Amino acid sequence: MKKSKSALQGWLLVSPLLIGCLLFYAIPFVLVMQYSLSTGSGSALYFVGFINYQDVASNGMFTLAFGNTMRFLAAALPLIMVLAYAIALLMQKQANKHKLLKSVFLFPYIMPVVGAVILVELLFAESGVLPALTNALGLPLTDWLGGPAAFGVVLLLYLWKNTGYSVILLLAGLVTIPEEQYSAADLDGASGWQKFYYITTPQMWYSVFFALIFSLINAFKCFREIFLIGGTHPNENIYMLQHFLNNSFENLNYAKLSVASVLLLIVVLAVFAVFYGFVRKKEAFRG
Amino acid sequence: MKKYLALLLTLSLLCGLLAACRTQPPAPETAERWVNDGEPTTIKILTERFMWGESPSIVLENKASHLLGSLGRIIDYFEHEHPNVTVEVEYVTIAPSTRETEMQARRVALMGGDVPDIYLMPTLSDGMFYEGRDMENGEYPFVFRDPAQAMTNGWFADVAPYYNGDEELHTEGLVPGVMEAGVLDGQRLILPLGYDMELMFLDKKEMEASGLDREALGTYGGAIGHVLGLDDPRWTTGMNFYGMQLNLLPPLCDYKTESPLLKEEEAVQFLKTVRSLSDEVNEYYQDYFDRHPDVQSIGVPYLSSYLGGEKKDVFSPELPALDVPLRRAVDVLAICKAQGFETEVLPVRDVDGKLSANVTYWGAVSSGSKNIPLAYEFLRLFLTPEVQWGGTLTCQDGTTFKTGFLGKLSGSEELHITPGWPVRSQGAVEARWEKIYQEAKRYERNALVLADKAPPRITDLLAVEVTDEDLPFLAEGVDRARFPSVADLWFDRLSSTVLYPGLKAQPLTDQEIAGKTKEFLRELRYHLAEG
Repeated sequence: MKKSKSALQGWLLVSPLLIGCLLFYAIPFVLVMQYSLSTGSGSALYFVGFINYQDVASNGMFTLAFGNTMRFLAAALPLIMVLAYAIALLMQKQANKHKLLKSVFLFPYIMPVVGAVILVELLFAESGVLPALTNALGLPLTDWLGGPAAFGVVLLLYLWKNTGYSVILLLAGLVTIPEEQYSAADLDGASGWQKFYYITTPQMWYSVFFALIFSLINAFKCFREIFLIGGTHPNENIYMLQHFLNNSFENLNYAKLSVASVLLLIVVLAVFAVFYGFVRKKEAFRG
Repeated sequence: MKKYLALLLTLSLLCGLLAACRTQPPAPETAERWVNDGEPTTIKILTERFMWGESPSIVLENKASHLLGSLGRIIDYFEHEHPNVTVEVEYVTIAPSTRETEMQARRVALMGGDVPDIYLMPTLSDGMFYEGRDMENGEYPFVFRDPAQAMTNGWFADVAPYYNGDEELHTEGLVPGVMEAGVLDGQRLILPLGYDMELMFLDKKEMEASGLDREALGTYGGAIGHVLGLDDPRWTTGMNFYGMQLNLLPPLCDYKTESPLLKEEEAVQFLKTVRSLSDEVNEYYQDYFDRHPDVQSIGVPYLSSYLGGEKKDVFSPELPALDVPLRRAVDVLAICKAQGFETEVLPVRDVDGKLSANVTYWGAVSSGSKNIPLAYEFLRLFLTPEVQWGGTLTCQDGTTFKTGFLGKLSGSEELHITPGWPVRSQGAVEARWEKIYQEAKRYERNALVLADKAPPRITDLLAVEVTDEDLPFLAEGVDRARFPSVADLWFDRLSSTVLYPGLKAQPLTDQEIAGKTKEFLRELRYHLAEG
């Protein structure tokens, strides 16, 4: 009786959140799935099976956008995790002494998007600093924002903007590892690498997972900068899935929009599921 | 427990997915028109306040629209005939500052199922190019950026069963080539209500004197080549077209396969032709204005200005050619005749010699409408002679509702409710001339109040007549008609850099033209893939 009363109280407490999730996530998700399998508008939606999926899968622009997005994620996520982890490890011992340093790392993250884009334009635009420098050095001119190099510029912008945030997340995990464990390891003659592998890593999987998820979310937010730099149809190397989604919305093609959203969700869920399953197996998480 | 919960969730998801799904029933060949059962019903229209040739900024500035008054009268007529039916109109916001935001919200609402029964929309027009150029992002957002593309996306209902069985409408009087633009895979999804195309008005006397060959003007490229070959730059001024230049090219794209049909070399060749022409025209105009510093502007005369006393000859020995849109052809021809000019009127044909038109105004029943027969019943009014030619709708009890603009000529010369030339082309010349004649008679009556006789310009106009024989190409119909879209805006931006190179004051090089054409085709490929 006490248990069921306690359970009821629990359900009541979470019900606003559940109702919100239902109204703003679950039901719209079902609607998106419906649109992806239908044609028509308003109350006249007609089931067409997987025809929309076939059309989108054979759509050259969708495959370009999807490929670019996956390429970006494949490059950006490992890079940001390695970079952030390295910086967090370097700062591990100094974190409590230099609290201001942690705030400094967040400055790029909180910088307005427009400010970041202006900085990119100042550096990489045709009349920017870098082209002027390369020209002065007699090097060949590169179209940094309108050519294949744009992918690298966007990657760099993402790393600059978001590494600090990941550092903070990882640092929060690192400072919770008891210092005594490292002291004991020192007494046993463990090397730096051994301490990292046997002490730090097992206890950091959850923080790494957390940082990875946020990095993934921030990777998708990078669309804002790309949109301001390249417009609705930027260079082919930085034409992302969000461009396809945004432009399909403008053209009122909700079937394509829905299909692209569902396919993206499937991929993200797959990546999430794989990594989540991997993390769950680790000792530190079980603890 | 968790497995059962997951199974339950999956089943709920599947049920939710399939609950609102149904397969589309096949459409019958013909269907019964709507019969009023007396039940209170409402139909909703989504429309714009502006129309072809009357851009949003003009409507905003004047705080008035020629379209609204007539649309109101048509609605009044329909509601008077069917007292149990209410027609609600939603106007898309017109102010450029808020339009983009509100358009986004409206698109979300459309996606969510809040669709009207009827869409009544203008297409991108000459006036819109100026609007688009002033916008920071270069595009004045429309509900449907590309109506032809929207047809492939299931937004509109097939009204073919009603249209095919609608004997009262006399659809044989509608231009087939234009009406076909709204048909996709046998489904009639859009009803074009007005169209337009470019015409060349040529002073016949000067034509014969200069040796301009009528037959050589049969294709766009041929016409330019012939005129440039004559080494008589006066004629180039009659071929300097703005706006719908995509009409002069082969078909632009295939929406079903989502691929451009226009080849890069075709577009480049066209633009090179435009460049050669614009060099001559710009030089000639510069020279003309230098020799005539008192002349402020040149262009197609307005009938209202002519009747109001403006003294300006349509032609002169230095300007024996004009490019005139079809919607103003009867007006300009009337002035030409009144001024004693013998005029050759030739349609501008595309690079392949085809007669190509653009739809200026269209209506469609939404696929999400809950009362498609009723929506068609209202929409079909726009194809009747009374509405197409700005006449009078008469109810069964004798009450009348005048469409058009109460018989008065407006500043923009739009006498018809449907902007552009009526798709009910058979009889349109006569109907238009009748309006002009009546208006000239009104001016004559007013003039006689103040003086013994009317001014010669009025009496000259009343002494002439414009008939179908003056525009013989109308009987040919059109070979193809298209809906202008954002692609027209992009191409206009491209061709205007060729026509007006800007501060560089140098014509674009072949390489620059090729580069810009590639960019246009790239944008087009994106547009087709994303729409």
